[in-house]
Amino acid sequence: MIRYVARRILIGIFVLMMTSMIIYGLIRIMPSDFVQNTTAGNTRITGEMKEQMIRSYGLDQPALSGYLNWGLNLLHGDLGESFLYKKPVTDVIRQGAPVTLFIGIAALMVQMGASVVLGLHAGFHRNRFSTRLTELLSLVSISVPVFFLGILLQKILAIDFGLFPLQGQISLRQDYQGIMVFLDFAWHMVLPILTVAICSMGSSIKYIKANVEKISKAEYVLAAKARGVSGKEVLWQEILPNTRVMLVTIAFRELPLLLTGTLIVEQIFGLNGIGAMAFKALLMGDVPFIMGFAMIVAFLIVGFSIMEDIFYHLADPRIRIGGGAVK
Amino acid sequence: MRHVLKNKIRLLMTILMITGLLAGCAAKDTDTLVIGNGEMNGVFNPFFVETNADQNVVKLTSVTLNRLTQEGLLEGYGADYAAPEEILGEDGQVASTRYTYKIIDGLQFSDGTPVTAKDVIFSFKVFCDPSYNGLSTINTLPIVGLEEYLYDTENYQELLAGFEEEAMQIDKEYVMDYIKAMASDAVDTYSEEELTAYMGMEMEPGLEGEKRLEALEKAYYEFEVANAFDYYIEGAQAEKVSELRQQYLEEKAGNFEILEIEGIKALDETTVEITLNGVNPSGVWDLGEMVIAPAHYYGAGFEKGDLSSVRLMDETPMGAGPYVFESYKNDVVTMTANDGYFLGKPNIPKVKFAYTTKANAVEGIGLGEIDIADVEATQEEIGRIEENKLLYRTTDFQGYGYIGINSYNVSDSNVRKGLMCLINKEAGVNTYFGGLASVIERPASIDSWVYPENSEPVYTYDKSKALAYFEAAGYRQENVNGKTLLAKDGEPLEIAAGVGGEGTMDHPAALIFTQMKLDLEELGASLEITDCDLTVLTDGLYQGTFDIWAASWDTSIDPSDMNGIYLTGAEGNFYGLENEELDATLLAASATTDIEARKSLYAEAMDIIMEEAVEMPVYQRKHLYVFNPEVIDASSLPSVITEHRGYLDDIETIKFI
Repeated sequence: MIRYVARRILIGIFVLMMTSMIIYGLIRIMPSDFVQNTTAGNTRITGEMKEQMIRSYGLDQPALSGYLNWGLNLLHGDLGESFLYKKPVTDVIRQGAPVTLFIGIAALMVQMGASVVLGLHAGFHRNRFSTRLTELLSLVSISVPVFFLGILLQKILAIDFGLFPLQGQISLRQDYQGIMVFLDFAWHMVLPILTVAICSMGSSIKYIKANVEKISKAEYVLAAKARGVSGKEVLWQEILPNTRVMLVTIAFRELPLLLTGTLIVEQIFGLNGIGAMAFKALLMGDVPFIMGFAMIVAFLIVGFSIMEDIFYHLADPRIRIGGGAVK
Repeated sequence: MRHVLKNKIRLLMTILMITGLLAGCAAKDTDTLVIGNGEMNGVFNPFFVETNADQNVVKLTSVTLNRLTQEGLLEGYGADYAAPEEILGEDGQVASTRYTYKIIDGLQFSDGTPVTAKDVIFSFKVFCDPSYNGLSTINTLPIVGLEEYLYDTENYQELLAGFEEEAMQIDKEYVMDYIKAMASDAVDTYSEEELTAYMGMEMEPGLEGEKRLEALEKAYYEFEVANAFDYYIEGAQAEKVSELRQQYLEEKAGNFEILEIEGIKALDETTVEITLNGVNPSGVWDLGEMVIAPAHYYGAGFEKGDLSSVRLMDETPMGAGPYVFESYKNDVVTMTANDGYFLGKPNIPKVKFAYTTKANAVEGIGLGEIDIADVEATQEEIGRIEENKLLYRTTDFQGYGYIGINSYNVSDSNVRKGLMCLINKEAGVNTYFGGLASVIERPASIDSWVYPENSEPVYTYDKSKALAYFEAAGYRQENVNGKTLLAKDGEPLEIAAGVGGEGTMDHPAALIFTQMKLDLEELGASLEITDCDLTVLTDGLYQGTFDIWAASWDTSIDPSDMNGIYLTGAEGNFYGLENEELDATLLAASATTDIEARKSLYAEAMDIIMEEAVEMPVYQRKHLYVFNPEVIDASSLPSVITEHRGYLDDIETIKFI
């Protein structure tokens, strides 16, 4: 297993390198750069001023040497300075991370919790009204666009009923202290979390439901039923333990996507998370920030993929990774 | 199990409800004005601020030498306003212009330090530093001694001449490399269709993606080397000069000798004199709107050629403005009233700038989350404002929409005038904007000092007048096969119009053109409307495809930018306008700093433009500022708000109910 993990890590590093090269190349061939975007429409900026700016941002360097410089700095743990925010990329990411991570992780928990309950229910109890309702819910979840659901929740829960704030991440009229700061923040995050969670739970419900249906037909489940074990016990003792691997798969695959999936939600609810920052950086051609963001996302995807394999093994020791047969 | 689950759900709901109650029912803070702002980057440094959202924070924490009136003229603020003094040379021409700024008595920064001439000079030095890479254009002004300061030599002209001489020696390889760089830019800028059409070739089939782009770039490079090598030599030489200049400055870094700018002098503790070479009519705004930054705060460790110490203060601005910066957290900037503000302590003790999306602004004010914000001027927003029982004020955008006529294509001025008489702009603008745009009569922003007061329409919508103009141009209505035909020497009047309605005719001029088409057809002529996207329209303007088109111009406070539009041969002169009298008037208007003289010259220039019938100014869009009348005392807001002088400029007067 150790050899396998080491190999996966090496492949992961190669993937990250390739990803960084492709993304850097794509940014540099974009039709306009940061200086053009910042000075667009400002007819008073002279060509000389633009050149001075281009040089100061290092955009005068050919793409290859720019990339190599970036790579060398990365080896020293330096992601560079954001053109847009005029401070180190790591600081900018640290500034936006709490919002994005909070929404991403909380949404994953809500999504997983709801998906497990509804998926198990729908997979185990077929032909019930509640099952149909769950299927409908998962269909709606898959079909409804994030922006639509976000605006709908804002309209109903914030504007019409005033239960939650419309936007932002803190109450602007109060100066809370201590635990209240966190509670206030959490209260502001409810609608964004619900939006992300509802929009991403549809596929998880379907996946869990399909797996539970499959497991329900397994011989050991049928045998348990034949022994007269109650439905509830079959569900908790026979089926649920066998969905662990599947749940690990869903969780690890969803987490990096949830980090990027908060982008639209951050825009709707006026939150300055990493997603919204990355979107703005992309529009403006902020090369260091886009690279930093892309590398973090790529690192998470690669890292979680490796961790997923390890957790497979931990969740079910019968599974061997690294070329061993599954017993 | 079900019981456990129910309990968990109950617990979750309880936590949420308690959180909501605690957050929602806490005592409202009645001391804070919450302003909906755009997305802030956290760069509140007055020297390096880039976005409007960040600029709002700078505006409240600092003062400028002068500030704008509602019309865009200047008045005293941190320093008295004095009209520039033109100094004549021996030849009787204006040799230089002198600007004097006397700091207001008692002006002090928010930490209590008095503002002195040293602070003003320090601020100029930062903006004029050789390493400055912000967006201020102060360093492009012809300040006496600025070039010497930038190049750190009294003989900068010799230095530049040396660079130019060296640049003349560039070899073929250098030019080839330059063409290669230009080819790369061309591939980024133009479409494959445009480039292949220009080169008269077709791309090799089977190439896709990156390889196709590389092949296109290579083909363009080879084409240019073969056909336009000499054309690039000048550009390559300029590039070389730029390189040498940069190299020189890099070598000089840390070893500068000229540490003062000759044209920027302290006359006494509180008076600064700036001298510009020749006449620069926009200079008065560039200089007057400069922020006075505290040298003791931003200047600690400042050395010429190194602004890193100034940049340390990006997130923590300090100045002499009405509010004192307190914090920037969770995308919210908090400020407290400056007790020592020279125009009086602001009425509202605290201000917060909070990032608010445009879509949420009105509802946010209605819910009491924010108090004031600017929103898009649309009928939908007006409906939401009324629904929430809010109030709004409008301002006019700096810029206007127009309908232009190409005088090369439509060479007879009577035909152009006839077309002008078929522009029913009131109906078009009111239908499209529903009162959220002003109809304008002269080619300038309606709230600008340069817009002539009480301007009357030169051409009004009148079909019979239009026909009279067409007839004066030699066109006659004939009956051909039972149809009326407006023709001259057998040639019917056919006009091609272009509008950027993105293919759906979603443009204020689309209605005007539709009406014009019907009217022209009734008169026996025709109008073919091409509805396209803006890129196609712009290309069409450069190529002269359209006889008449609808577009818009941005305007600036100083109307010298009219030179780039209406002078003979100017880049923005899509009208093909060639009028010596107009050229002379515009050049005279940009050769003096006398505002009254300029007003009169620009009024004359605008009359000539209208007489030439090449441009019909049509509309100027509005902008909305929405506020909650239950929170803000509407009578404390400035009675007139314009794009030049917004409510933030007089924030100290705003009161709560």
